[in-house]
Amino acid sequence: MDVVQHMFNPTVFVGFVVGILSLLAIAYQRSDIHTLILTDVVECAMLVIIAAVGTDLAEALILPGLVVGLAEFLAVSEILIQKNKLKKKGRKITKLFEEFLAVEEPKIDRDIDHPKMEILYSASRFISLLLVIYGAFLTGFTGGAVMSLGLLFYLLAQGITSKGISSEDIKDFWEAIVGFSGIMWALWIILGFVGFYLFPDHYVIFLLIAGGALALKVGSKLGLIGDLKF
Amino acid sequence: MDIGRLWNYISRPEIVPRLFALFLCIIMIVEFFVPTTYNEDQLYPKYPPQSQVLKSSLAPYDRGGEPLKTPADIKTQYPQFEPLRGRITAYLTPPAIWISHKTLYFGTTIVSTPGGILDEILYYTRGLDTILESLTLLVSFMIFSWLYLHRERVE
Amino acid sequence: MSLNITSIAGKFYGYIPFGDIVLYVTEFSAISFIVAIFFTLVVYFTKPEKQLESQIGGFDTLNYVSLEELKIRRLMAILCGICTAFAMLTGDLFNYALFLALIGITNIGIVAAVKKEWVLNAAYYYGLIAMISTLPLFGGAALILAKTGTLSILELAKKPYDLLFQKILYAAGVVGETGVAPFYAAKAEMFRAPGAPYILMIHLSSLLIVIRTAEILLTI
Repeated sequence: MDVVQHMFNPTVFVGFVVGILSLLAIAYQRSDIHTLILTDVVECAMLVIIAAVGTDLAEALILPGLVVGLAEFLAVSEILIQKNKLKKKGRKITKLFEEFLAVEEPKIDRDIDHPKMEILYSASRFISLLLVIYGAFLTGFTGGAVMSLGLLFYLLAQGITSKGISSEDIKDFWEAIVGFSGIMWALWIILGFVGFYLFPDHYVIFLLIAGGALALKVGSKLGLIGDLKF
Repeated sequence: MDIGRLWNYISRPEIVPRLFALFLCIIMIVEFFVPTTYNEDQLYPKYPPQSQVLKSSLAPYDRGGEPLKTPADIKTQYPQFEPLRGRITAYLTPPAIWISHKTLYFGTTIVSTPGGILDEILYYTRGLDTILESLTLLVSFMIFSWLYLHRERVE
Repeated sequence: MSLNITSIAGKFYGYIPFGDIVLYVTEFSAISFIVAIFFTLVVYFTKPEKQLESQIGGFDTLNYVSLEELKIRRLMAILCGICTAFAMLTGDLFNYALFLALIGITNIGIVAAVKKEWVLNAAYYYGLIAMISTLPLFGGAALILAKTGTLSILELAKKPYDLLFQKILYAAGVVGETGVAPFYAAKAEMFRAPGAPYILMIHLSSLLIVIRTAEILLTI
């Protein structure tokens, strides 16, 4: 523990310096979007301070800290978008997912040879399947992230190759996936977490359920962000 | 200066985050003059850095124990409430065992889940933290998707 | 081993162990738990109020909450109430900090569902404060862990530690995460916006959390 003890105070100082500088910047900042980005820097300083403790416990505590920051950032940034949209005068009623629907392509006189990204057209399904299977093999949070990467890649590739899907379909799909994610969360609590305390003898089953349910939960939820392409 | 104008100034919503940030700065400067001391008697201690490299295939995360047989010896807060202490740390899935026999760098990959010290902390000994953490993500996702899907609504 | 602590919270009734995180019940926390659960039930069973807005030189308008807005705000208010109730029982500093973050984000959700500019403005600035205050909240908990080697309130209560600065940091985090919520709820003029019962959950949770924080900081 000598190294950790030696490095503790310098690391905490670094975290505090980053925190104080970004807080001062927030105090002087007038623009909404810049303030939002600076608050994310403040959260990074928080992670540095937790990491300074330097035990396995600190390594496990970083994950909740990171996720809480991420979650608040997601909600607050969407509120900022809605707020700015309301501020504009003479607004029209927008269609669902309008900003992501393809408008007409810019006209170019000359003939430019666009190299087509072949992988998006021919192999998108295979690569996303590979990533989803690999994520299922990993399980847990990392597995969920890899799995969602696969879903995201597939949906983005579908958006580029312009498969037409109506916004009603997307709404239904969205609600179904959110429901699935919530059910997986409940499954993990009821079977994965409480099971450890009620039936300690069969802990391997609960461990596998916890890992699998978390992977599905995280994967389905982050994969939804890919839907915004349409 | 008129105190009424001061009250009016700080009652604006956009001023309060700035004042709060400034207030936090003033508090946090204390740390540089009175540094926090470090207690050596910590829970879940790590091994010294680089002490396991090329000796164990689970390199930085080898905490001892055999899968399904002997639990690892880890230092938790309340061992009397944890009948499974160290068993999840020692557990490895069959593919993970196979890979760890092939290479000495298995611990640096993320293939080691489920099982391992972090999963023991996240799923078992501090499982309530993880529940709250994923609930936070769920709630923020609800707010985000509700605002997003209902943005064409007019009052 | 005994888990008894002498604190201002009154008689120690028992504990619910979940590994390292031990929930404990004292006189104070039992009463607060019941109050929070009772008001959650009240929120669940009440219908939101409608308002008649009288206008000069025009027809009076009736403001009401649409069904979908009612659903999300009621869900957020119920989650806020349940989290407040269990935050009263928890016996771990980091767990308590996570409860606070969750209450903060449900408060944002209650306010943000109203689609009016000044309400969203208040929700946005409240969200900024909640994000900033994760630094003192989690950072303070991490510094307490580093200085004492434990996060459990029951263990911290056994020995006297000199934690003045860390406690100030932690308290500042609590103030930012839920303490300022009533200011923004009032600022959003939610009492004049339709759907009054849900907003009261913000005030109740903030009140209970501040009392509980005072109890924790005096105990450790």
